[in-house]
Amino acid sequence: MTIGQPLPRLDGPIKVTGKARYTADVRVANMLYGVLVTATIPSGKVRDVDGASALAEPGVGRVLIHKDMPRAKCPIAGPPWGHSFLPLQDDEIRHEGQVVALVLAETLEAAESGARKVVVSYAPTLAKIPAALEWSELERVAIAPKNTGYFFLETEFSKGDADHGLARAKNRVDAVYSQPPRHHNPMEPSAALALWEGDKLTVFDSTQHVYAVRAGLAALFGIPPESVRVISEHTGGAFGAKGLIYSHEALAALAARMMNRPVRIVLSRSNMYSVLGYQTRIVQKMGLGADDKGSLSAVTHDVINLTSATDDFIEAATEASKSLYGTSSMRLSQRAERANIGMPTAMRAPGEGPGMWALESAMDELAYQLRMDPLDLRLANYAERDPANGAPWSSKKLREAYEEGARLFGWRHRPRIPQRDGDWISGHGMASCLMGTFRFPSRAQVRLRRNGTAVVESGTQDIGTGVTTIFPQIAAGILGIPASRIDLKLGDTTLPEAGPIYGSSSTMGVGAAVIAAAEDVRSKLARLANLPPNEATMANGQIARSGAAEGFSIADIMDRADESEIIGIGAFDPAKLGSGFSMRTFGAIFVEVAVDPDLGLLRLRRAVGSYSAGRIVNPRTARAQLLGGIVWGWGMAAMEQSPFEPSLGRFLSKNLAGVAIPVNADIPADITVHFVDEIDEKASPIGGKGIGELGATGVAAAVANAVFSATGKRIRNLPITPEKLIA
Amino acid sequence: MAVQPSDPAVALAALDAVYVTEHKDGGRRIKTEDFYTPPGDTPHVENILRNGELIVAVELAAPARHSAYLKLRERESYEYAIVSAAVALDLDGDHIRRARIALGSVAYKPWRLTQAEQALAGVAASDSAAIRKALDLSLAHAKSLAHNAYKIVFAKNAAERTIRLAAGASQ
Repeated sequence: MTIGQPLPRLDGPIKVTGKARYTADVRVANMLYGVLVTATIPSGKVRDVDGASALAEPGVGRVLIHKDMPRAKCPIAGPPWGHSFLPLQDDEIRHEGQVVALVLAETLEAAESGARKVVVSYAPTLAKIPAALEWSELERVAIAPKNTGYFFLETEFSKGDADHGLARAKNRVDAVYSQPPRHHNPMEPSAALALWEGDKLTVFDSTQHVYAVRAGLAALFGIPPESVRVISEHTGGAFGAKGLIYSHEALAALAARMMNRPVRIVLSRSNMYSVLGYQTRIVQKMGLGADDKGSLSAVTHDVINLTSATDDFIEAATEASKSLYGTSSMRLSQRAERANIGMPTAMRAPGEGPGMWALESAMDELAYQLRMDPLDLRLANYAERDPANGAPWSSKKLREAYEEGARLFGWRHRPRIPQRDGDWISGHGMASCLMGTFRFPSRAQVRLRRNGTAVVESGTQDIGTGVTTIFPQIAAGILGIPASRIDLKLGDTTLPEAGPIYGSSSTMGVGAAVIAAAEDVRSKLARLANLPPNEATMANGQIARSGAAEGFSIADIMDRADESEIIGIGAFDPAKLGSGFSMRTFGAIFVEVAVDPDLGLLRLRRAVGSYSAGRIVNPRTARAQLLGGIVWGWGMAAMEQSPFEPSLGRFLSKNLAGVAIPVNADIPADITVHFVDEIDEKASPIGGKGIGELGATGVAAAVANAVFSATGKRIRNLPITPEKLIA
Repeated sequence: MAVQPSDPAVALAALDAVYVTEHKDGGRRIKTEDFYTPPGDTPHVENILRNGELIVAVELAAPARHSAYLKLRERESYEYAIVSAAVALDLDGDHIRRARIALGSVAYKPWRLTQAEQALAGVAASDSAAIRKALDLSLAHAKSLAHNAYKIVFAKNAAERTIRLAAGASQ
């Protein structure tokens, strides 16, 4: 059995030697380079675009503006589009940084130089800017959102009379928590290369879902999806930024059609802050009511998030309160505030990431009020069933995760008063972790060759997680050959269709399909060897009846049958598994932080994350995912923000020099990732669940709670930057 | 309004460095305090160097035995300072004979706290109340902009800490 083994990353060598090919590495003959010209105002119309000086640059071929472009053959409305409009279809400007022209040239340098020389004149209109960060002010401007496809989850939920319950509760927390906009900042900027052969379109893309891009672009041109092929060999980080279709993908395809030449557009770092989505500003009002033993009687959770002028994106932060603790009443609401700002999107970890920041901060406040250990308060409200609908869990071992995490951290023996160490004061904090489970239908194919090598094929994507290792690893266990002898082909719409690589879904969906496909290979081989398929096992390049000492070699069987390869097909259909059960992943994060109160410095000293996330397919790549999640959470807690500058109508910084994300020096060596022993057979035949996002939840609250224990300062506005901590 | 973001420039200002330049019309020696120009109506002009004038040397006096540099920032590394402080102390036993203090990221140039420097002459390096008083005095007229009033607190606290670090340091 290979599942559960800490196999090293199979794609390590190609990633560190530069052999892995990303979209911006792809060059094709006769290719034009496209560079975007973006709006410098947040609202209004394009009056005129003067491309004369740009066209005078050597190598610049065209400056395309809205008047030049063919009209979309479909409405641009809702997913898979990132927002319900496509730039250059009209003269309207909805936000700063929206594309207003596309410069095409023979070289990237010429295109960039040309783009700088395009002169755009505007007819500005009064822009709607975000309201002040005050709950009363936000309530005034908030609207009941309209669903244009970007809700994803429920916006309202209630059970019992929570407002009454809260008013009557003996102990109450009533507080507002906020977080600023943050961008995904993947290492690889988005890129698309489009080329037409007759009416067939091929797009090399940096995406989390090749099939979504295929569907969107086919509709854009009014051609059948089979006429569009989307290839994404590797995507260099995404975190949600590449989950939907954005302007550059459509414009590359449109421009390639018009110019009758391949067109490649690679976003600049600055484009990454305005052409794509981001996690928006989210403000949450939490109400908790409890008796003296800490038992919750009421939970209210009201969320207002900023959204664009075109669509109401809803950041489903209330998912946290809906699912974590038992309570007799709850009322959850989500509203939006519109402004002339880019369209938000999902970002690691959507929903619960922000939601757990508010809920777990409020739980800590309640624990201090009740003089209870924060861990005991959580145990006192442990939900044995889904608190929203009473459904049983597909699997939940959060109690074990709390206990094992607390033991590994030494939570029960921590100092209860702040510890001074020179200029530093240390404190301890904890929070629960929680993430939704998203499953998508997925197919895979496994081909076994007579020389004992194999290939796993599925139209999923590599975004740098562990999938390039675990899919061969899963097949290796069934086929009885080393994972190093199994190739993986993914990121191509000509392969069996798989779900998107977001929502921490791929291990469950594609992983299960790979199991089924490898088992199909084994069954077919067994039949050729006249073995009962249900009793056949494969090991060391042989297939044998279970328990038999001698088997038949793969090569011999295939020679005899005159087959060069055996193809197995597998599929995962979430509709057929686990209905009636609520599915989530859980965990607990414990941190020790140090604060230098005179200098406002905050440092992470150590952390323990302990998780209930089903069966862990590869502990090594899984640890990397959770560790990355904790670091992601530290960034959210301590530094990340993209402040909106009202006087400019844009994000203040559109480059990495002005946006702090954690560097190696911020991350202590002392971070422990622990998994509870668990198999969830209702979520997926693989027994596992998603882990890509879980680790990023709870961290910000644990850090703020630790800061409180160290300093007595309760920080409710992220990030916890030095000016909030100086004495 | 942009602040002077360099780290070495702050340390060089505290050490009374002299910039030696060459130019086809003749070189010169420029004290750090004369080197930077206020933004005024020409914010793109940051210093007094002429076109074609090159810094060919930086001159420093004998090494400061008791000196320290402190940089406050939102993350551990690879980030501009919120405030930085460079301090060089001339000590006579525990007493400060002469203090030189420069702050970074608070103005268009490394900002020397000359008032505090004068007030600290003769003060015991361990007398934190006197040091605090000197710094308060020196920064009493510091003006903050919208959203950065915290910088004045950082400046004081950073200078105070850096004086302590410099007093404890010896090379």
